[in-house]
Amino acid sequence: MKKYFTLFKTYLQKYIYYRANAFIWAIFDISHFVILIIVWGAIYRTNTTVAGINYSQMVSYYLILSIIRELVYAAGGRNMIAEEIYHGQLNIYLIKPISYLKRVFIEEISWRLIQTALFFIPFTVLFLLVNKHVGITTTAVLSPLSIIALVFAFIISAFIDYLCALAGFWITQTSTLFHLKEIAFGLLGGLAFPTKLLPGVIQNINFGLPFYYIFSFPIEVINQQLTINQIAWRLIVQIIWIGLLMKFYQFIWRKGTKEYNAWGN
Amino acid sequence: MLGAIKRYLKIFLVYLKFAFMEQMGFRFNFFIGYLIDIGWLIFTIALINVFYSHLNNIVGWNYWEMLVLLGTFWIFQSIIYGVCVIGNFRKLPKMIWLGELDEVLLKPLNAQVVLSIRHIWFPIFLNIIPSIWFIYTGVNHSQPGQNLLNLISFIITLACGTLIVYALWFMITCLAFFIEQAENLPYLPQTVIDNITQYPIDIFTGKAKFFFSWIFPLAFAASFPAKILLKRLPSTYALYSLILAGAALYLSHLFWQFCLKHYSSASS
Repeated sequence: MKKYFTLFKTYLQKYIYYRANAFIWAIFDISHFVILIIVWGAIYRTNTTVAGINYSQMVSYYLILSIIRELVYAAGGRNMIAEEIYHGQLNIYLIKPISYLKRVFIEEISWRLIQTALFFIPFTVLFLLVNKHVGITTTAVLSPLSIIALVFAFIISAFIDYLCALAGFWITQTSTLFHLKEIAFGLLGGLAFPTKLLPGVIQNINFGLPFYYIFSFPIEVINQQLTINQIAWRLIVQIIWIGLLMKFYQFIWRKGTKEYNAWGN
Repeated sequence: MLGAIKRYLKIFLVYLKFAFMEQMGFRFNFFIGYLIDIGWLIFTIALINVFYSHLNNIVGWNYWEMLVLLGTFWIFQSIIYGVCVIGNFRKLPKMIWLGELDEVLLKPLNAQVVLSIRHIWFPIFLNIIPSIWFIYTGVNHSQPGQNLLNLISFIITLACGTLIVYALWFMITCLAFFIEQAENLPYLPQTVIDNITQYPIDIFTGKAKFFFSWIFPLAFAASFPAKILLKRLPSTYALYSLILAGAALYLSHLFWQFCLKHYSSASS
């Protein structure tokens, strides 16, 4: 356990050094939501509700989403695994007495922590600007169920990202999969708009897919839009997805490392 | 002046030819690249379909008018990303940081131009074809009977709008001369430019609308050209776009010169 804690500390130091980069990403991320709030503000000039959602609820949705995105949107697959497979740098980790998956997770969490901490600077500015439209309570945000839903959401997001990266064992261009993932997160995950806006049939299908459980579900828990029963069932679905994705990851990893070739290093 | 334009047009065509030859050498990558770009185009269309399934219009733009705007946005987007952003701007901060600009600075060419067009990303240009179809369909449904003047004004405004955005994006990327290890600097304007230009400028009101129309004139990239085509704006806007594009390019040139004074080579 100590070795992983040391790794965590090292990665934390590394990302503190790259804080300018992290801050630029924070600005990049928040500006996307600022513009979406402006777009919806314009839409609500002539509409009181859209699909039963009023302006205040919409603003709250994007504010919560902006924070959740920082916390759970895993990018270690693209930035670490895919790169390391492509450049043949996996050897370094394969011969070390540490779990590769745990190491990626630790690096991912270190980055997310620094990134989220810096994100709070532009987020506070945005929050103060739209404060009067927001109806989020801190008790809802910090409720144990919200935290569990968020942790599960992060694990699902991470496994999807890492699985895209593992395709790198067989193909050189994994970027397509990451873009497809982003498109799925945008349309089905609730990253572009609340999934309630989707047609009914697609919403029903979406409940069976993992994307809804990454962003939309934690937001609904924080916004107190679900009953305890609904939350419990959806947490179970999250656990099932984590199990399935983890098994699939292990299977692909075993097959992939047999295919893997590298020289030197 | 005309001679210089002709010369750089020739150089651009050479870079275009090289890019095509290089990227066709890796056909699978070319195909994958196109798949990504078409994927995002489908995403945008899906997005407006979801919006319009609940709304009759967005700030006065109906579905067909929005299709014209999106078609225009995708043409602008394909050009700016294909020519400047993907292969050039995204590499510039690292080149500055590693002191690798010497190779370009020593050439008897305008370094700003070379650094903006030398690695062209070809697959994205294929998005222009469906974009033209979106514009055609949208215009046919909402504003048929276009005249030649309107069409020429549309093309001029779109071209100048692209140049304006190029100049702004280039200047922001050049901040890498002053910020160490800011490799992701070219991504910073991406989200603002992409998001603002793909929606009608009418989402803004008052000072913000004025700002994005005339001070940081992103409206010239897609909103104003689309409005010209939809006969919501007079053709004189083409003239304004020419003036603004000239001013923006000149400003970017001055800023580039200023930034170069802060550059230290790594004796490459």
